[in-house]
Amino acid sequence: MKHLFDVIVIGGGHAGSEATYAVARAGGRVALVTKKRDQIGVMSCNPAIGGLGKGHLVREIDALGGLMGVAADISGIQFRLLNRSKGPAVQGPRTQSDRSLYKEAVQNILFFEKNVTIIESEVVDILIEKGAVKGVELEDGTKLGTSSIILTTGTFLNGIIRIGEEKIKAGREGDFASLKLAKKIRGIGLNIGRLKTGTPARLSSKTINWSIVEKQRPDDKSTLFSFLHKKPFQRQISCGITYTNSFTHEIIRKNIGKSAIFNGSITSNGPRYCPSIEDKVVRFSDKDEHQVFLEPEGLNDDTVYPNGISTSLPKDIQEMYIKSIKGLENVNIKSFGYAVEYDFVNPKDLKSSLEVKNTKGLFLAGQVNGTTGYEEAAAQGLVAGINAYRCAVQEEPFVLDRSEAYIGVMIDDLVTKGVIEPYRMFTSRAEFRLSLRCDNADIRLTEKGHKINIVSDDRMRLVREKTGSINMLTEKTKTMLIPIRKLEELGINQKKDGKKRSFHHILALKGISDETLKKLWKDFFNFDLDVREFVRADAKYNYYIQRQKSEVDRLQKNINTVIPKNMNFRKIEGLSSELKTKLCEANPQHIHEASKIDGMTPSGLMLIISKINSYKKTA
Amino acid sequence: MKDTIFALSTVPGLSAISVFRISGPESFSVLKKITTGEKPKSRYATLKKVFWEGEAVDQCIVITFEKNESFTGERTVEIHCHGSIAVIEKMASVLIKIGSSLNLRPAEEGEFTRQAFYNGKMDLIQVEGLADLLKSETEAQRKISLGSLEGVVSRKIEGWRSKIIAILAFLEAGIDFTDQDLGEVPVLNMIVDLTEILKKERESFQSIRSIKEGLDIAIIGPPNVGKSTLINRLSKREVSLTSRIAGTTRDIIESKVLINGVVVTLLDTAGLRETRDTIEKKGIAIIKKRLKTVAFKIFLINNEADLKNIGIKTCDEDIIFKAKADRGNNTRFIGISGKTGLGVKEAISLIEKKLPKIYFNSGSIATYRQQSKISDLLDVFLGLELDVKAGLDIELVAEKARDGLKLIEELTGRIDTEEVLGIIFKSFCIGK
Repeated sequence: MKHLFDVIVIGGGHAGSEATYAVARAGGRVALVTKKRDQIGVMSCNPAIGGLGKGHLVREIDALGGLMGVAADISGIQFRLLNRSKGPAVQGPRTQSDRSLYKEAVQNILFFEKNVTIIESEVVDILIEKGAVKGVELEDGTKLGTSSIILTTGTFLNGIIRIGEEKIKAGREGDFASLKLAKKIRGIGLNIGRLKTGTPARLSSKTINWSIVEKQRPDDKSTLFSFLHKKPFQRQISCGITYTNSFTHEIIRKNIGKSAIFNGSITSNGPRYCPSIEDKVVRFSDKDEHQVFLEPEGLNDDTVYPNGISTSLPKDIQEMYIKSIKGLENVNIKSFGYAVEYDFVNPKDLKSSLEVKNTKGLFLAGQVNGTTGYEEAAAQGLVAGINAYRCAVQEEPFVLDRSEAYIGVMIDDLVTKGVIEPYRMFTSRAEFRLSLRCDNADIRLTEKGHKINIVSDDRMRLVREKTGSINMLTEKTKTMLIPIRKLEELGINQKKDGKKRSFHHILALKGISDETLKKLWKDFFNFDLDVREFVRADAKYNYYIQRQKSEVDRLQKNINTVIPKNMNFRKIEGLSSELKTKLCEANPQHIHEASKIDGMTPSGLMLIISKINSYKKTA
Repeated sequence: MKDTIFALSTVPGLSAISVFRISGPESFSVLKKITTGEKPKSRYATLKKVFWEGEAVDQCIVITFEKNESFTGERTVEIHCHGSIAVIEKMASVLIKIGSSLNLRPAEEGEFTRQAFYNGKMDLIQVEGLADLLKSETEAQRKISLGSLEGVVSRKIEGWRSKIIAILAFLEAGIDFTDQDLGEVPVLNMIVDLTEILKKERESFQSIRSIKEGLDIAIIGPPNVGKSTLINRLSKREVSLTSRIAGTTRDIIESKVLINGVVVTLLDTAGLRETRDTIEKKGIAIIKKRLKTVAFKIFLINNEADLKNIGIKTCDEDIIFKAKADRGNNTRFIGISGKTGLGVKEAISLIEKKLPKIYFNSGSIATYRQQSKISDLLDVFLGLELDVKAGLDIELVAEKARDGLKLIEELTGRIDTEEVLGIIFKSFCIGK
């Protein structure tokens, strides 16, 4: 079979789009096979991008030249920086997007990329010979040869939609499930499990009584996703906030037996952080109201996404409880909520490159790996795209470490721990949270991306300039010394030790306003906002970051530690069972040997070292 | 391949029974080489003859333990043979000879416990408890170390660990789910609750260390006042040489006595007085230095003026006795006589009152390592209490709480972020 394509991507959701674009940027010829060309880049759940932890992922994707941040900025109609009152390490940009503008932005990028070919068809078979990918077979019998495939089928593998007692074989409302492909995937010998997720009903904006619900305003000054953008492209709008009430809860409680989740038809795990309204009412029965966000799906779209009331109750019950909510008394329901159950592949079957362990050239990304969320999917798509192309041209895989990026944290979590519920990013998952910030994603990652040819020279040049400015400003703030007396005049109390304080030191203090800083050194504001923000965050966290670094150094020092012969790796608490197996097989004699084992993490090594050391100390 | 190890587990020398222990993957093969017939059922004492090169070595009771069912977590064989020197030596030489064909060697010191530790059969606290139990001399020491070995301490620490994880969960919820309606988050209360518990724990450290390691009491007074006589009386034996000549005791003489289950080391010191003798001067200097580490002092004096002449200040904990009270007592202090035993009983009960109360609470934190880690832990959370009150950024508070968790993990187990998230989802209604 002739190879027309270096990589074939199956699926055009967020993982598939990002993967396709990554291959194209790296210079690979890529085909994206999707059932519906006009559905590429569609937001099938709520019309929003970013949030806490997720915003980090989008910034990282952007720093590596990806498309999600750009598309989110172009379509963003309500930018809000979450945790604005907290430190920069835990802030997360988020936006409501205009659903059709988002899709359009993604399609514009992909359709005009010269290396990309879109094929509107269904893949019914993946051709594998001797444990390696050979190509795909389309529904019309056409066979396409390739050595690298990226599977991004989302919830389509054996997808079943449930609304009350109703049961429809579908991956998404109005779309058929992929049954043949699901059968094939099961045949490869991967560990398949079932997960579920849910979505709420969609409402007609015209029929909502907006005048009696609270308003959630956009930020006065928008924080965008892409490092290339400064200002929003679209008019900014407000969302509504309303609440369920005891009457709503009573309706749900009375009909709980009709819910697909509670009547026994669904047994798979859903995300605990995104429970259905019936879950909330049952598990937190002491709460007499739950927030509902009314999110418009677009500037010229009548559809509203009521965030917070996803459900699998029958349609008549949905109608009843929705109409019991303030502002929704006369609402017109455009489509009903449902739960969807689908096959996922246990990501422990994958390498850190997202390649399936037992099949060379087969890569998996997105919801099929047990994750949830557009951002998680896109981040995996990016990594799978990079590595599928690198596999095709026989280059070493590109892997990000937990200390380098949220993307690294996520993929490491997935491939070492596996999933039992849909995996979502949180900042609490990152051990190096203070150094992995949104504001420094470009400084952390762009050069890495440039090295593997997925980031343009222009973008690289911008980051170099920014780095230069940061260094200059850091140096200046450290050498600019201010007498205590002057600080006291401005109400900044410091220990009276006669020593001057550097401007850098002042930047690290909590609650220092821009006005105060202006009075201390007004030229500070001649630097770009992102440069100032970086230096400020760095000043604030420097002490803690150094301490974390010393931990990493401690690891380096222990690299020659001998592992006792009788060490039983199986009994080290906290190591994943996969790592345990690998350690037992490899039986490393030294820590540096253990560090070379595929999938070994710094924290894993620390566990082994501390096990050895703790015994030495008592002996 | 892991080594199989063996050792004589009882004291070498004449006794009724001696026990050899063999532990490791090859131990059943070793047994097969020196016995005939079936391998005895696991954990059943079975009478077996041990042979070597066709010749009977001894008639023994053999017990086998399957992997994971033994102390070490390895396959283990115990051979209970007769406790004669000849049998022990023969048995040892047989096992060493087997070592040339099978992967068997004599165990290093503490190696069985090490196997148990690396196999996860014991955590660090339990290993420390075992070490202490094997060293224990007193009833109090035995109880404390057994508590540690049996996991009472581990479970207690596990309880604190859950509290720390809960604190961390609430902090993380305040970071990752601020877009949700979380209601009141009582982190400060939770921190205070933990610091109160740890404070109480730390308060008991000193007395537990006294119980474990014993404490020193010095007896001081002017020359020839009868200090050595008193020590001999308290020790019920002749520890210190006594004479009528002042200055008989030059060095510090120690005598260990058990009072109320606590090992007390009584220090007999040279008589203290103004002196020009350089050797005596040096002796007195040494005593003064040593006095800094004693729990308290017993002053033995002839008259009130002695208290000044000795040149050492009394503290509240100290006890003062009038010496040689058999010849009368014209002071306000209790009279005592080492010679006749007058007042000795009262003196002992007075000393008993001064000793730390023995906690027969078997969850006591006994080792120095554990105590210092817990002190560090307390410091972290006391600091955190101040930080939270002062309004430090939540991500930095969380960072420090993560440090606290690391400390407790150095004591035992290990953390997983999933555990933290699990608590968040259980405690809050999360999810739009």
